[in-house]
Amino acid sequence: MNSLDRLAQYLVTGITQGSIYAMTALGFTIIYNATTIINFAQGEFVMLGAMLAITFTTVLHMPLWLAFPLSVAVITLLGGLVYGAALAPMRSPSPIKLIIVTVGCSIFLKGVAMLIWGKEALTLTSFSGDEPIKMGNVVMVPQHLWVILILLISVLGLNIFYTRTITGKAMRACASNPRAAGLMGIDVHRMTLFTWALSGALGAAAGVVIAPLTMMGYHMGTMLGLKGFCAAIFGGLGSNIGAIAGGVLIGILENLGAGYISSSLKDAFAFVIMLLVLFVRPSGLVGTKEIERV
Amino acid sequence: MTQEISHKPTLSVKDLSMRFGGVEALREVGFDVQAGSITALIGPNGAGKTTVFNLITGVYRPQAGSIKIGPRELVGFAPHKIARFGLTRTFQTVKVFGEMTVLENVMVGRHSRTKSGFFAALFKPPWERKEEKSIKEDALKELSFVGIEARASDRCDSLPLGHLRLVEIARALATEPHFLLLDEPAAGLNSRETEMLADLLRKIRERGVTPLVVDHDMDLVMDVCDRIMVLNYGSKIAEGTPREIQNNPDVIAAYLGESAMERPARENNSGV
Amino acid sequence: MVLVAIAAALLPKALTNQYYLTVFIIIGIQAILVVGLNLLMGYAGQISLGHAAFYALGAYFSGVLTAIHHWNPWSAALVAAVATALMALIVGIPTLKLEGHYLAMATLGIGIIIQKLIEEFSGITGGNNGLTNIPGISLRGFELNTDLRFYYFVWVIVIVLTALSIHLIHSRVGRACRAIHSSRLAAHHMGVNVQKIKVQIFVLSAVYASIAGSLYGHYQRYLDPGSFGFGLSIQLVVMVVLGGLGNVWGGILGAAIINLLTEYISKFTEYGPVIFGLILIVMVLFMPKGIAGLAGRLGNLIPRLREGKAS
Repeated sequence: MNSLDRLAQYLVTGITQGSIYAMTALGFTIIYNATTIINFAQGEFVMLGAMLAITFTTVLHMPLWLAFPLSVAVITLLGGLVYGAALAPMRSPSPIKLIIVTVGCSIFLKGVAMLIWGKEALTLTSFSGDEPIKMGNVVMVPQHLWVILILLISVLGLNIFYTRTITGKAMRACASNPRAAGLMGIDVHRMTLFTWALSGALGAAAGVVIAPLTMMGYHMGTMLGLKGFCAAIFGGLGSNIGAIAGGVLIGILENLGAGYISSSLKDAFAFVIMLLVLFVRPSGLVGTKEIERV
Repeated sequence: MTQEISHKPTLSVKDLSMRFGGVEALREVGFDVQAGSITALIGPNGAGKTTVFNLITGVYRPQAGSIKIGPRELVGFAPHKIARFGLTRTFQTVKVFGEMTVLENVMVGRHSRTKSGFFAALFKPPWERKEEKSIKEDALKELSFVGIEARASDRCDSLPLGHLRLVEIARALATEPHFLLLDEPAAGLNSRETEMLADLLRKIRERGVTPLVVDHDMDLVMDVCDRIMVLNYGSKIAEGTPREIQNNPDVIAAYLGESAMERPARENNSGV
Repeated sequence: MVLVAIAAALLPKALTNQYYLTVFIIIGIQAILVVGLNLLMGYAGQISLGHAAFYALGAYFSGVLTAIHHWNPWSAALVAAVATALMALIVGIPTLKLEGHYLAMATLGIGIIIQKLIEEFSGITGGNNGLTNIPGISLRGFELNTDLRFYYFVWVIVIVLTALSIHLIHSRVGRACRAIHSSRLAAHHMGVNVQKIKVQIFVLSAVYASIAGSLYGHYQRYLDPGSFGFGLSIQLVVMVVLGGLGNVWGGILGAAIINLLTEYISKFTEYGPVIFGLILIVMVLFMPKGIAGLAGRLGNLIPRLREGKAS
């Protein structure tokens, strides 16, 4: 395989993996926009979505077209539940407290997953087979395309939801100015609940679609969530487009780094990128600068 | 502790201009504040008064202009350095250190005039203990200067607004400034408290610190100040003694202009 | 403070099982870490989600210098502390310009990167295979080779470092720190060089972590990068908050509680994480001032009970 092919191969893997980071980052960003909370449990949404789909198909023998939406639905409910049970009751939130609570949720969910599924890594059968697709010397499997497709559908769906539906517009209003939105009669708590639920849905969808390509275990959520944050910061905390761009770019850069520099440092690259962004331009690729008013 | 100012510097502001994004907040504002005077900066809301304070104390950097204390140029320095040069301030929304006691708040004011560093803090050599003692004494003196030494060991988050303003002033005085910028010190005070504030300002001047006040309380300003500068829409429109300012047609227009616009609206509502 | 010293001194007599001495040694080591972290988080108000990295650096510098290059543990620990301080300085200067969430994420990133680097440079550190043969410590020939001796050694250090922290809090620098936490702007205008103090406290807390790390290495005689990850950094933060942010004794308390809890829970390893997660959530929601805060409130309650007032 010549160097151009190698590059192309890294790009393919990178875009695929990046799409998962993108969806994770997106779920994380919509919550941040609505509540300025950093959801450390985001990775667990992804992991649980995958694990549920695996159980539905392998143990309950459900067909994929049923298991996928069902998994997403369950995690959607879970997202709302996390908000309602752990976050809404908080009396005087501060960054530290919020971080600890969502970390607590993450540990809790991980523990539950360990109880239910044990410590093995499980896998899901590919959506449309494993027949490799060759483009020149670059090899892909159909699942790669599924990942990108699901990302595009999610982004499109989100866009339509936010711009064309009343609920979506209400959610945007809450994210922009909760006080004014409340005065307009929008139930801010309910909108925040929906935001968390939506975030769960995004995470779960990402999980289900990546599951055939990687082995999913109870511990896989953590790193995924953390890299999702790196992506969101890289793109610009608070920007949906930024989250997507950041996710895909980190996926690509990570794979290029692993291929050309060092594969054992692969996990570190996302964080190095995030640090560089934070030091040089904290508002990220797309984000707006914050001005402190005296 | 009473500082003998060996030289009495003037605060000179020249051609100060500031933009925030597309908004021009100040346009070529200039004035001098003589040591030993009590000066006020007034103007309608949004005129740019707090921005002037922010620029002088180093919170923002102006696009153009110069700010000097004596011969020393202040533009480009960070707030803590400017405090060391002798310029400090109080805030519109009181910013005391809530979880610390009144005394501790004022002790922080002594930070720039003392030097125990990290290692001294950890190991407490005798000279550090001596310095701590003098910091405490100096802080107590400031507290009795403003009149709240009785509250020295109370936590700040348990005090009423009037006392908090005094704590802020005592804290600022502890930095041994040449100039003390007060941002709306009378806001939220009743008339008795405001009178006491006026006396305090005179006491501060007597001691050798020069107050520069931004406020909306015209009685206070006219009563206590030697000199008044008026800002409107980011430019200085007048400067002079209180009497001159009261009779200045531009000033009257700037303030009346607002209330003239209010009148038609009131007429409309009364009919409804 | 005298109480804690007495309690610590008497504890070994009270313990029935030698095994628990190990637990309390670890509590002591982590208490050092947490007291340092509390200075940063509770007093200066800066979040760090990566402090396990400085612990790791202290442990590995000490470990590598003594195990592989046969240095004397005392000089190694000193070099470790200095090296860690330098790292903290280099990393801290850009990082502490950030606030809130951004600071949290940056420290998180640093923690993970340092851990991965330790794994990567396995030539020096032993990487994932671990670093073995770390020698024990001796005080002028008196070898600290039993748990009991090491226990006293560690706790003496805990007490000393805690005393130093108390000195710091009631000093010019300590007040400046607390001022920064309360109102960064006001502190700045009162002449406090905010950035410099933040970095100094950060470096100090890193040095505390390094000392703890060196102790850990010489106690375990073995190091493995896996134990210095994000999980540990979070645990440290939990200890700080559980004990009580901004309360020096809270640090020791927090370390004690979490370790005892994990010991107890590990009987139910299956349910461990689930319970731990629940505790975190419940605690933040209902006990935001931590256990020390609760104890403080209980302390206020006692005089009222004596006076016969209803609570």
